Amino acid sequence: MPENKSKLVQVEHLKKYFTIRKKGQLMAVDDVSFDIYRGETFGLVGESGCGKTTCGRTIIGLYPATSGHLYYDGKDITHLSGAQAHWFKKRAQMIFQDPYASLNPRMTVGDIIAEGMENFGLYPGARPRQQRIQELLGLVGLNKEHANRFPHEFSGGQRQRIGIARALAVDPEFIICDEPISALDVSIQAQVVNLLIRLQQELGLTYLFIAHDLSMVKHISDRVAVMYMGHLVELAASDALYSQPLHPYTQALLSAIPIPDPRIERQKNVLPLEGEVGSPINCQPGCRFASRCPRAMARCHQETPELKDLGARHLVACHLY
Amino acid sequence: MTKQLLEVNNLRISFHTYAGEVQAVRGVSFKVSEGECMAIVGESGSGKTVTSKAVLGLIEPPSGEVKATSSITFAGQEILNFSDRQWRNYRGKDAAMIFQDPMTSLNPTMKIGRQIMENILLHNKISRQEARQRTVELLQMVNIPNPEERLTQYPYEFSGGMRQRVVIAIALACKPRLMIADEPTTALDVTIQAQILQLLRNIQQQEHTAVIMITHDLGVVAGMADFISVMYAGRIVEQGSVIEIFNHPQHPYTSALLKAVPSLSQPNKAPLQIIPGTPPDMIAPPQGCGFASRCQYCMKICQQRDPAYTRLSDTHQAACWLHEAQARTAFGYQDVSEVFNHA
Repeated sequence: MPENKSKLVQVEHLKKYFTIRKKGQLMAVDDVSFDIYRGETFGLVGESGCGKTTCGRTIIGLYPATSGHLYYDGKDITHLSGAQAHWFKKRAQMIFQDPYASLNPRMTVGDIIAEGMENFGLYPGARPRQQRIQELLGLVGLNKEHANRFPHEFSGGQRQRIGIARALAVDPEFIICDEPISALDVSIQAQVVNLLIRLQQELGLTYLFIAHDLSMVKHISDRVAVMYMGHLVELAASDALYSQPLHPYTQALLSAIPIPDPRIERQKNVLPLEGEVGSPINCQPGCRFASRCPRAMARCHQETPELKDLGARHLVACHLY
Repeated sequence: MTKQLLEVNNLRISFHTYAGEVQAVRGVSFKVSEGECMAIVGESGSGKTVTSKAVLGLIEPPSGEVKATSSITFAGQEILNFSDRQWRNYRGKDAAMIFQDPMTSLNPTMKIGRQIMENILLHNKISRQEARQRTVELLQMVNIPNPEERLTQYPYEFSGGMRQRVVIAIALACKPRLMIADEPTTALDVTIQAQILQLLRNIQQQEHTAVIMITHDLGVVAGMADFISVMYAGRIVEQGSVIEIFNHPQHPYTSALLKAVPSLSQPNKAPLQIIPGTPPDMIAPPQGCGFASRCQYCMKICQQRDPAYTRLSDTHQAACWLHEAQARTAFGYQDVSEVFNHA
């Protein structure tokens, strides 16, 4: 499928370091490369602190990249300013994790949605803009009367829909969804995920879907990348990754997902993962997972493994392969 | 035969707010026996945390009110009319709680060792030396490496998973007979979650502790619980053993909840079955069944009268009008699960 599609976003050797006073460099994203094809959903998973959110925020330009290159539709977007930044922001939008903190409580829902259109001079005139706001509200499953209300009048799931309507207001092509459902209840999560899938089919959107809920990521994504301490350890088509994980970390991560079926869950063998994620400050070369890996070799502690294609576009960064 | 430890009967709790009386829990009854794990499952606002707080006497007047009709007995003793002194003896010793957020449930200005010892010294007449020894044992029990060293550290020096282990150690300090775990792994990553759940399972088996586990994660429930109570809008809508709930759900809410979670074997991007709408406002709870407005099988009576429980087996009961004989003959089915599977 994705083979004959064009690359929309290219991430090449992206690094994002944060300087910590007196301690050195926090290597949040360290040499990460991947491509996102037009029209697909690219899932990015990992545990908290692995750099997945930083990665998303760097791509959209909220953080300046330390080094490496980002391309959008063939154009270099690593360091944008002025007209080019404006051009990119019209095409790429973001949906945030916390629907309570990401909407301005002093603006009406209509104003929140209209802000983006105003910035880009879309739908000029009061009437067309109102019409567009109502259209967007309908698209995300809210009523047009909601435009005059304030965010506090809505539940978490409804607020997330407002956030989605705001992202769609500028007719973007690419949306970064940063944990869009993790703050919601199970029954509401399904509503939002269905909405995202439907919008993608109707509007031809491309998603970068960042989450730690592994079963939801599998459900929504075409391809999934797994991050561990700033490194990309495995990347494959979503079905292949879940049925045949190759990296020891991915294997442990997937075995730890609780399965909502008592007969399977009670017999399941969780691969024990000793210890905890290490510190991402001033990392030395070597596989970041080596200290917890049950199959670590001497080489793993010295040499950082490269991401290798093992065929069928299944990429792994591990010395075992 | 296991001995019954806790019995909650017709528990009703309201909170008085400026907006009016919020009826958070509206008639909840359940039993927990020794060595058994009962899970309370439900969405946020369904009243599951409030229920568990009532078991520890943590509903504080004047805003919170446990209604006079309620009864909670622990080992045969009514606890709702405990004096302050009795509560202090009971909390931490007979029943202990593991809180959701390990980041906020520890005192940031106290060393870990003192926080654990506090509980031991309060309930036992032993010397500080012995208490310290017991603290080291506890930290070993929850698999914290170098316990002697860790005793003198502050919470900020621990990671999230390690803090949750400390919180568990505090709960275990006096070998409680009942442990309430309120979303113990929600704030943790999956690999750490697996470690903590394994730890809780081991402790439960070794110490024969009764556990009330509050969660919204059905996967966690599948691995931990013996019995499940599904709560919705302040009531238990269905109660049963873990197999009964997962394999033969008999309430539309339970059935819908189970289908709303994507399974790894399901084809990708297939629409998930959703529960439309949002939970009702508990200031003005609906007259009939709380789930009626979101239920796809809603009948006229569902909006008028709250359904009573239908007993389906010794352990399994559900509150839904679909179990009524009249509904069965009108729609022509034997078992309610037939209806759910058709949709």
